[in-house]
Amino acid sequence: MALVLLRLRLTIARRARGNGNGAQLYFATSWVLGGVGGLLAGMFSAFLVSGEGPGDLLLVSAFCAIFLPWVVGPIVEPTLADGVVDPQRLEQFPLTGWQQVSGLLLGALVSPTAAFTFLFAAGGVVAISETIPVRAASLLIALLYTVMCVAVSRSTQALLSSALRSRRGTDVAAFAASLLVLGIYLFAQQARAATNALGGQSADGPLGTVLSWLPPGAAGRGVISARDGQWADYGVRLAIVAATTALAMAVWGWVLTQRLNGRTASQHTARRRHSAEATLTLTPAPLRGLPAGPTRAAMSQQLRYFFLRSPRAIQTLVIPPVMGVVVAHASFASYGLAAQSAAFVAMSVVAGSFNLFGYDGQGFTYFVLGGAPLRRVLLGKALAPVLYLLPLMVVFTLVEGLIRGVPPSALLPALLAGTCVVALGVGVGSAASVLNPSDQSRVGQRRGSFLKVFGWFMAFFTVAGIGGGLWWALARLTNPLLTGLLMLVAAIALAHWILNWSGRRLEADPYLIIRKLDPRTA
Amino acid sequence: MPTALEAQGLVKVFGDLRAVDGVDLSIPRGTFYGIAGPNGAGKSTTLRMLTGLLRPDAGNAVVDGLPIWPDPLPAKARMGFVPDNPVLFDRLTAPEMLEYAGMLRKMDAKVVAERSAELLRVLDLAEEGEKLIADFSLGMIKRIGLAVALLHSPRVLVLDEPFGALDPVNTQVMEDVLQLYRRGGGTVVFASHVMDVVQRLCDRLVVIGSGRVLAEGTVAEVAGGRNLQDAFVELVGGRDLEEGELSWLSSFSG
Repeated sequence: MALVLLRLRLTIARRARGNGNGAQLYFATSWVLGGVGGLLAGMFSAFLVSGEGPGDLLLVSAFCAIFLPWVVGPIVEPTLADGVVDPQRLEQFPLTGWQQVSGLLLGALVSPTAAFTFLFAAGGVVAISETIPVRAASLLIALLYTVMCVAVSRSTQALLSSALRSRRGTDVAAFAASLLVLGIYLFAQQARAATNALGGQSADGPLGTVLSWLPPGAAGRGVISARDGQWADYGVRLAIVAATTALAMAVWGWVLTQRLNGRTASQHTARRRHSAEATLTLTPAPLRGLPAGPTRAAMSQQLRYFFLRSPRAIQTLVIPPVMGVVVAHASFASYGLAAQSAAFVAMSVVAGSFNLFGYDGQGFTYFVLGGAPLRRVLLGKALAPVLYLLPLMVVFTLVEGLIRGVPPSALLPALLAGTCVVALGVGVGSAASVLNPSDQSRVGQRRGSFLKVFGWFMAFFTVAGIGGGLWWALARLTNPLLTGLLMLVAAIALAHWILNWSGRRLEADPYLIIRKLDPRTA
Repeated sequence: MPTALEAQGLVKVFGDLRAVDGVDLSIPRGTFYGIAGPNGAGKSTTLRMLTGLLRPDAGNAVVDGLPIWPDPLPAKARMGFVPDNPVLFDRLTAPEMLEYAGMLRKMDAKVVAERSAELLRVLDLAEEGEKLIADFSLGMIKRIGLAVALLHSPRVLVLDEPFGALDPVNTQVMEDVLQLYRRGGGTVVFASHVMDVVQRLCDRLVVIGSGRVLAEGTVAEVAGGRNLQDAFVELVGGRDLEEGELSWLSSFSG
């Protein structure tokens, strides 16, 4: 049965990938990177196994470091997880929980990331002057370690998607995601110091001891124990890895059983039913002063989808500003507050502005079916992110200015710089949304359009960079405030032009988006 | 009688398949008009061209005097369409969806609020206040789809398999709503496989097969003195099981 599900997974993945050049290139590149990167990482781990001393701690740490993205990935970016075989569709067949889990696990093992992980972990197999039993023991550890990484990742994803079905779970996940990303960035900022610290310790030091009892560290320690002929210790470490794998699979199976028991969002929300009265609830209170019509309607829907209705949306929206704070604070401080403000917005704007119809799914077809004025719908959706980006930018600029003790005269130009990037992001984002839409809930399709999405991001960062250059040149000729005002007028004019062009393009061919978002209807 | 919806020589070709091959229709205002045909006959393709969702390769359609192509927007403003699987924003609640539809159609907020409350009450959706459309049953989706299509009080209402997945009570409610709408001068066009529904409700009927009109007229004219189901099967060509086909169904798997 596991093989049947594996074949199903490969077929669906192939179909979802499509035959486009971009998709094929992405597919080939990811496997080449996984393979070549894995071989290099494997050579590195073989080198560490061959030597002794500080290299042992580095090996244990590397096993932990490679395990980390497997756990963190589904939390910070759920769409990266491989969802091509939907457990919901398997429910109709006579499959036990174990059959579902083992089949889905086997399918997930066929991926470039799993190949990379295995090749890294299998370094001990080719380590210099080791005996056959040591090589065999290393191979067993590598296999189990890879299975553990995938199983833990998938069970985390399953647990998370289960938690996200409730409003409280959504909030917790969003908060946890932002904390995790912040933690990882802060850790990355300190990476050099941490690496130096590792150089002074051995695997038997306090850090090595703690790491080697963690499941991924135990795998690394197991390889060392086999090399040193400590077979009892090897058995213990192997048992830790196996037990973690079993636990992860049990959790995964438990989540599937919960679905079978009917513990779903609909049941949860059903308890809160109440009578619909003759009141209108779509538009949030702060927007009610705007004229009613398609623009306000689309803006309201977008905000509701962003913050209240789509767990993926809220996660995707929360993370970039957190990263923006860290990047702008750590890497742009020497360029001045205006550059920091611009960098913060540039990092934050892409998540909410570059795929404006991405959460609509088949709902987009309703726009066409109902004869909605698409240009005004696009305008509403494009303006929605401005409502949270501008306040965020103001808060960041003021706090950063306060921390760095910049004079009040520098605050206004910095706020103008941030606003320029907001306008630019809204403009470029509207064009990206019309020309390269993708359904955020369909993983396979998003993979295929990854290169195009990346291209749009790069185009935006390039235009923003050119704007930064113009700002710098203008500032040489006039004062910062006038520079900011001139650049703001230029940015708004450019955004207005791109928005108009995108709106015309959308009205001329809305079927492009229907084909991408609702292929069944198309 | 003036026509509400007229199609002239509609043609749609997909690759080698001529899905719709010169369909002419003339649907009188204030009637219940049925479109029947077997699976793959071209009914849905015809409906999509009539509702401005699919551009015909040849021919055109006119709604309430307005040609649908090349610019379908004015015609869409006078139509309501409920597809077989209504396309809606599934992360909105039913009242939110109605408000959204009203604003997209530039309706007055007060009118939207009043009509929404009434439609939700009549279609038995008023108690689903905070439930997302994604969590609705298919029958509930059909009902909210109808509410969205009726909100702006269109001149022509087009429905694709409107009664599928509805329980008898809601079927009765939907029929009553549609009859009320027709008495007010509205025109109902619906596609269905269910011949007894067509026979019970429709004033006129067209049978489409292989993308062409096979028969058109009042229900009595199309039936030609027979049961409508028998007349339909005869028109489109029935198929009986051959002797011995699927004989294994008389045994059971272990």
